[in-house]
Parts: sequence; structure tokens; C-alpha cells
Amino acid sequence: MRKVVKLEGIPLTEGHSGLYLEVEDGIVERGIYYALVPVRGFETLLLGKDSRVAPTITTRICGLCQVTHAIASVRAIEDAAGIEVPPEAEKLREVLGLAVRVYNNLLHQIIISEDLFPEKKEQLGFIREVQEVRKFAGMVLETIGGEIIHSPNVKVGGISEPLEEFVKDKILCRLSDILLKLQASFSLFREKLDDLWKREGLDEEFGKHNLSFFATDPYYGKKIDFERFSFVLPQEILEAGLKRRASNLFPVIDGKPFETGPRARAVLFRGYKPKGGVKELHLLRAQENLDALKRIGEILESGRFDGELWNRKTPSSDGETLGIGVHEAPRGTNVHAVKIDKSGKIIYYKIVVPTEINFFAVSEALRGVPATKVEFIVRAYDPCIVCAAH
Amino acid sequence: MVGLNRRFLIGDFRGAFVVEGKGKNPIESIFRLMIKHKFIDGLLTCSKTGDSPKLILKSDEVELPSRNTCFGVNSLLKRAIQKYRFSRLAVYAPACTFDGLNKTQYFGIGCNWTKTAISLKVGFLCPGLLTENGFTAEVSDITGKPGKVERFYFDRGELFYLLEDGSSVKVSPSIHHHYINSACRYCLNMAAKGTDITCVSLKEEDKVLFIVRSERGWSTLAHLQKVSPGEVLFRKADGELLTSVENFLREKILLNIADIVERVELGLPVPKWNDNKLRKFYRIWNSVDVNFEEEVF
Amino acid sequence: MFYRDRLSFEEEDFKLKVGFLHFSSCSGCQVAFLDMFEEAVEILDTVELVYSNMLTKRRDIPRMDVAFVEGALCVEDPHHINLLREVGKKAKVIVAIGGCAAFGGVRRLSCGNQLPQPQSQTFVPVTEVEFLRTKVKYAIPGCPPNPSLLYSFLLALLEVNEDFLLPFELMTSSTKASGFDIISEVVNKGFCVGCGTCSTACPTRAISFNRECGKPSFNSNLCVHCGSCLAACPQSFKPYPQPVYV
Ligand code: SF4
Ligand code: SF4
Ligand code: SF4
Ligand code: SF4
Repeated sequence: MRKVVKLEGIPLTEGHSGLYLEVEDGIVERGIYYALVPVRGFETLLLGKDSRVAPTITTRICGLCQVTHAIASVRAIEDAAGIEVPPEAEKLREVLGLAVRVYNNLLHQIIISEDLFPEKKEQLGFIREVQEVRKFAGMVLETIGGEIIHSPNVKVGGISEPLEEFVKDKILCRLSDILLKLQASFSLFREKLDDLWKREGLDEEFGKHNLSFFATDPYYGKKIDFERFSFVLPQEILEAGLKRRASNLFPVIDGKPFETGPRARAVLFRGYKPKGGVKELHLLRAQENLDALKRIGEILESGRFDGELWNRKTPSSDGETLGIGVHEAPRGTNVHAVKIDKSGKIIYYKIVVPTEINFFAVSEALRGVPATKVEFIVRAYDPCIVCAAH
Repeated sequence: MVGLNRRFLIGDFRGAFVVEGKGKNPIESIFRLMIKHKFIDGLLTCSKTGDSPKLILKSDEVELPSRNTCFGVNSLLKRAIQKYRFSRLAVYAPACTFDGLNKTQYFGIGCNWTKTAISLKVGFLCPGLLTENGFTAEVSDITGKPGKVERFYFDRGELFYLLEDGSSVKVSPSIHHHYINSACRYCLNMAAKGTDITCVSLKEEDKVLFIVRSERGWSTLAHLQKVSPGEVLFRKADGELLTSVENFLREKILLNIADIVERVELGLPVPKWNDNKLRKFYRIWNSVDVNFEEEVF
Repeated sequence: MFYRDRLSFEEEDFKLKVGFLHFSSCSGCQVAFLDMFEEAVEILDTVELVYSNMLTKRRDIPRMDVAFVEGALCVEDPHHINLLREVGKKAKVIVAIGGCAAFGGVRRLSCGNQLPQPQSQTFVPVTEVEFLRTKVKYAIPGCPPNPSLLYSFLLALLEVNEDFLLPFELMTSSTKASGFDIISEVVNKGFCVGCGTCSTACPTRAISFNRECGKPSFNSNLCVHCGSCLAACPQSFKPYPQPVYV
């Protein structure tokens, strides 16, 4: 029997989103995943504003992976205005990005912990352990970025505050301890994930799709050609009622849907052979935490960051050059594109966030899974709906 | 009615001492020792001239504002606590800075986890703050020519400035009241009641009156004497000294109260979200039997 | 306080039922709760979290004692209108948490005209909604509020510490906030003592300190209308009696 199922509000995910499913005998034949939180208009509200305030505003797109928007935003403006950034500032930005990766990925583990731990007591115990690592990531964000959520120190031209050696040492001396904690919680996570898969009767290939992967860098982000993006409107592909409510665009790259995120980074930069299925996505995301922490240590040990890290040149451009800023966010490639005029005002702004790119990936992954289990697919992608409907 | 007694003017305290620093400023010596012996990990205050807030990390860099100007101290709170991650911070500033600090501690507003990061609050008896231009105008008013103020101190219940040229000028409360920062004209807490210790600078540069208020202030000083005896000498302050401080405060606060009364009677505005402490004070000031102890202004 | 009505007979079993709801927000305020780190776990253990799409599996909104609401209401969004009705019905007390919910926050800048739903352009903080007037008891400033503020607030709520809560009650009556408050409400009124607390409180560093004058200096470009600065200023409200931490 064929029927259409519409789910609204996916518990244990960020934001308000929905699923449109065409189900045949309990199996999803076709599904579309979309955002339902209202568009806030970050692309339009920036028009006419001084480009130097963009990071302050764009970081407020999202409270989960805040700094990634600030970073993508400043990189786009620097690209448009040809501003040189001190290399140490770029390194610290990378550290901030990695800290938020850990901070956010572990938040995701907390969010889905109700799935993993049927016992409330065990769940709280797990959260407590994960929180310790998050606290460390929060400390990195706070000392280098200025605040845990919405870092004010990420500026066009660099980082506004140098990192004194003794502060850096405070971070470094806790790092190995935290790594051990993270390893322990990773093992527990893996174990509980296996249990969940067993409990729910899911197989290893649950949620497999054939899309290609998209990422620009294992850690930080490399400039890409913005022309490769085009956007499908929800009005083009959704049915009547949803047309007027779905609030995200569906970006495609070279006309094709892609998956971005931890698995994409693993496949493209670490030679990982994907098994398909969403379980490995959970594990690869958790693996990235460990890699990120190690990388933070490497970067901080590689040099000094206590000099001037901020090129205060006033941004100015010709109004034509499209500046592109890319950052590898926890969920995948985050791209901001900007044009600014001679006086430094923003005259064009466009944001493509990873969750947007992954809407089609989630939709593809839904194909062929039991309609009762679709939420596990969505959760595995850790969608950030507020970002998607920026 | 509020009695302008010692309790209201100076506030509660456990003991008062004249502290001698053997030729050096004893408060500076104490902070130096505290940093050296790791009682504190940083000192938040202003530069010597008082014109910029400063976070001091090393004992040989300790220098405190010597004039009655000390603005913007709390603007470095986030750097101290959120960035440098200090957990045993000492603060040296006038009372109102501690109002801000106590508030961030109590409510948690403004800076993350300030509550657990401060280990000593040292306030100074504050006759009202001036900007650089304020000093120039005030000194010119008194002496007829501009002069640079080096330090302020109290002697026998009067406020004095020591000028750069070595001369001392007596500053009458009414002239001072004219030139100080506006908010200081409504101040009811010049003796820094919400602190661990209040310091009163005295004529001799190496002597300071310590009014020790809290258990924490008391034990810190005791502990310090144990680890380095003889660096600073404590002598119990005599009643006369305290009375003279009290007299100064009384004279100045009467001017403040007159301004508050006028302000309330004219219905001049107060900030939003304010619970209107001035009107509260006005009511208490004019009533017979309200017990002021419930309110600390 | 009224959510404690039931307390009279079942003192021991009383667990405050709290929920998180969000309108147009970045979710940062909800995440800030978790940024109390270990303390967040204790709180999760002490109160009963009955609703949060991020942390519970519930789809429908149950009755609750306190609803923490973040974000501004998007008038064009039918889901928000429903949510508004629901929360008005289901919550005994609403706490507007963060600049967006309390004073409009960064949503004050929105102007619509963005695909795919260009009509989304009207955003109002929940404190401005007449329908919730009697329910919105407290507003918490910040973008996001400090975890330590949220922690102290929750404790005060559990202990019904009226002294602590009063200023947050006052804040619900002012639906606007910005760094200009510091100038108009404090400096212009002759109350600025020059302590610098506002400058440290600003999450965007929009307030610097003018050393010459000993006063804060406000750069409106960077302001996200969160209300932290005035809330932190010792001349807005103060804790009474003054606490001494020993
Ligand atoms: S007189 Fe009062 S308000 Fe003015 S600086 Fe001194 S303590 Fe602060
Ligand atoms: S107040 Fe700030 S942190 Fe909170 S939802 Fe709004 S933008 Fe996000
Ligand atoms: S100036 Fe800063 S603290 Fe004040 S409302 Fe604006 S963003 Fe918030
Ligand atoms: S916080 Fe301090 S510096 Fe800022 S306005 Fe208030 S009194 Fe002035």
C-alpha cells in the first residue's frame, strides 16, 4: 500500500524540520528533508552595513557552531578586499574552528544520548563525561575567541587579541588529559551505538546512498569556485502546502547533490573507503573530535601567537569582486560569498551552509529504509536547521 | 532617620590598623608579597596615574593608583577571568567598582563565573573621582595656578593633594564636590563597604590605614604576616584617627545627601531597571524609624 | 510564586517542570544552558525537563511550570503563531531568555526579502506580545546570557529568591535594549561612575572605554541589542543587601 507521510519536528535534532515521505509497504520510496524555521534574512540584513561588522552578525546565525560563520565571513571579506591576514591569526582561527568542532560534535552526542542510553542514570553519567571535554573546548573558544558562544575576537584582518604564552600553556597542559577522557568516552559511544543498532534492528548499510562527497580541507577550509553552486527552490520540488513553509534552499554542486561533513572529509583527505550507511557517519564524526584535539595541540605548539595578529586595514573593494570565504564546519563545508564597495559596505552576501548541502544527502539516505526508522537517519547527519534557514 | 554615625559612614569592620611599609607603600608591598607567595594570580587595578585600567601579573610590576582617579577597572574583568583564566584575582579600586563586581558575582551577569574567581577585594576610601581636566581645574581653583597632582591623602580629617612640585594643598570638600564626577555626588558608599579591606591613604607615604572588614581580609593579612614577617608592620589604629576619617566622610556625605534630596524632589530621572535607590534613601532619610541596616547604599 | 502552588502537600516530590521552546533564534541560548558543563548535569537531574526538541523525544508540548523561550516571534510563520498559542496555554511562567526573546536582539536588524521565503520579515520579541503579557514573568539579557547567569537564575527560581528575580521581572517591561541605554540611561543621567562593567559585559565588544573622560564609549554598529551592558551596570540595579563573598 502506498501512502504519503509527513513528519514535522524531528526530536533530538536542532531546530524545527520536517520529512515528506512516500512510503510503499512501510518502506520509504522517496523522501525529502527540509527546514521549517522561518528565514531570518542574514543575507539581506547585511546589505548596506560596514563589512567589518559582518562577523559579529553572522556568528549569530547559529549558536552551535557559532565561530564557523564568523570565520567564513571574515575570510570572504578579506578575499574581496585583498586584505592580508597574519598567518598566526589564520592558525588561531583554525584552532577556534577545531575547538567548535569538538564542542559541537559532543553536543550532538548529548542530544542523541537519549537514544543511546535507555537508562537515565547512565545517560547523565555519559553527559557528565562528555561535558568535561566540552568544557575544555569551551575554554579554548573563550580564551582565544573571547566568548564560548559568538566569538567577538574574530575580526576582518585577523584576531583582535594575541594569545599570550602563559595562556597557551594553560590550554596545552590540559590537552593530553582531555584526549584520554575523549578516548574513553569515544569507546563508550561506539559501544552504545552498536547496542542501539542492535536494539532497533538496523543493519550496517542502513541509510546508504550513492552520492559523491564534497569537502575542501580536513581541518580548515580552502577557497572554491562559487559558480559551481546552484540552488533548487523548495517551491520547485515540494508539494503545495510545503512550498510555502519550507525555509531552506537546496544547493547543488555542478548541478548534482553531494554529501558534505565528516565522512566527506575522511573520504577525500584520509583515503577512507566508505561502507555507506549512517552508522559510520556517527563514528567518523566522533573520530574527528580526536583528530581535532590533536591538531589543536600541533598548531599551538608550532609557534608563538603573542604578537600582533590583526591587520587593521579598512576593507574596500570594487563592488564586483566576489570574495569567497570557506570554513570546514563541524557539519561540512560552510561558504560565505560577499561583494563590497569602495567604502567597505556590503552590497551582496550569500551563505551556503553544510546542512543545506546535506538536505539532499539525507533525502537520498532515506530511500529504502523502514518509515518507522527515518529519524535515525536525520539524527545521524546532525542537521543544524537554524543555519540552514539563516 | 539615618544617623550619620560610624556604622553608616564607615560600615562594619573587624579591626582597623595603621600599616607601615618601611619606606614603601605598604599596600603595594602587600600585593607584591601576595603575588610572590601565590595567594593571588593577578591584580586588577589602574595605572599609577589612574588613567588606564591595568592587570598586573608579576610582583615587580605592582603599582597602584596614587591619586583619586581610577576609571574602567572592570573593563578588564573578562580578560582576567575568561581569557587568562585567573581564579584568585585581587582587585584594588574605589567602592563603585566593587558594586559592579559584586553584581557580576551575585547575578552572574557581565562576566562568566566571576563568583569563584575573586580572592581579595581592597577598596580605597574615595572622596570622589576626577579626570585629568578635573584635577587641573580643581587645583587651579584652589591655588590660582594649574598644578599636577601626585597623590591624595587624608590628614586629621581633611583631604590633601601632594603636587608634583612637592607642595601640599588642602582641598575643601565643597570645592571638591564641585569638580568631581557627577555620579560621585550621589555616592553613599565612599568607604567601600562591600570589600574585604578598605584602605585610607595617610600623610606619610609609607603609612596606610587599613579597615579590615571580612574574615577573608583578616585571614589573608594574618597569613601574609606568617609567611613574611616584618615586611609590613601592623599597629592598631587609635580612635582619633578613625574619628577623623569619619568626620571627613560626614562632611562630604552631607553634600551628597543635599544633592540626592534635590534630585529626588525635582523628580530628575533615574536609569530604567533601577529600583530607585535614591528615592529609597530619601524616604529613609526623612522618616523617623526606618532601620537603615536593611539597605546598604 | 504560583508555580509552587502544589508545594503545600507534596514538598518532597516537587520537581520543577521546565521546557525550552524556540522561536527565531540561533539556539545559542539553549546551548548556553549546557555550557554550565558539569553544573548543567546537576540541573538536569534536579528539574524535570519536559520539553525541548533538542533534548527530549516529545513531539507535543506538555504542560509545564516554566518555559524558557528563546528567539523572536516571526509573525509570518504559522508554526510560530501556533507555538505562541501553545506556550501561552501550557506554561505557567515564561522566561524570555536572551536578547532575541527579551529585546529583539539581532532580529532587530532583519528586513526580509530572502529566498526561499522572502515574506519572513516581521520579528517581535516575546516580551512585546500582548497575548503573553501576564505569562512572561522574567527576561534574561545577553547574547547568549552567561552560563553563570543562567545557573544563578535557575537556582534563584528553584529557591524562589525574590530579591534575585526582581530585576529580571523589571526587564520584561522594557522591550527594547541596546548599548545606547548606557549612554541615555546612565551617562546622560549623571550616574556613570566609570567602573567599566558595561564594557566587559558586552558580548560583541561594542562598548569601549574612553579613558580621558572615564566613561564608556558606544559603537552602535556592533550592537546586537542584547541588554547585557545596562543589566551589568551597577547603576541599573544592585543586589541588596550587598553580598560579601568570603
Ligand atoms: S565617590 Fe563613590 S561613586 Fe565616586 S568613585 Fe568614589 S566610590 Fe565611586
Ligand atoms: S540572544 Fe543571541 S545567543 Fe540567544 S538566540 Fe538570540 S542570537 Fe542566539
Ligand atoms: S552594547 Fe553590547 S551589551 Fe549592550 S546591548 Fe549592544 S551588544 Fe548588548
Ligand atoms: S557600567 Fe560603569 S562605566 Fe558602564 S555605564 Fe555603568 S557606571 Fe558607567
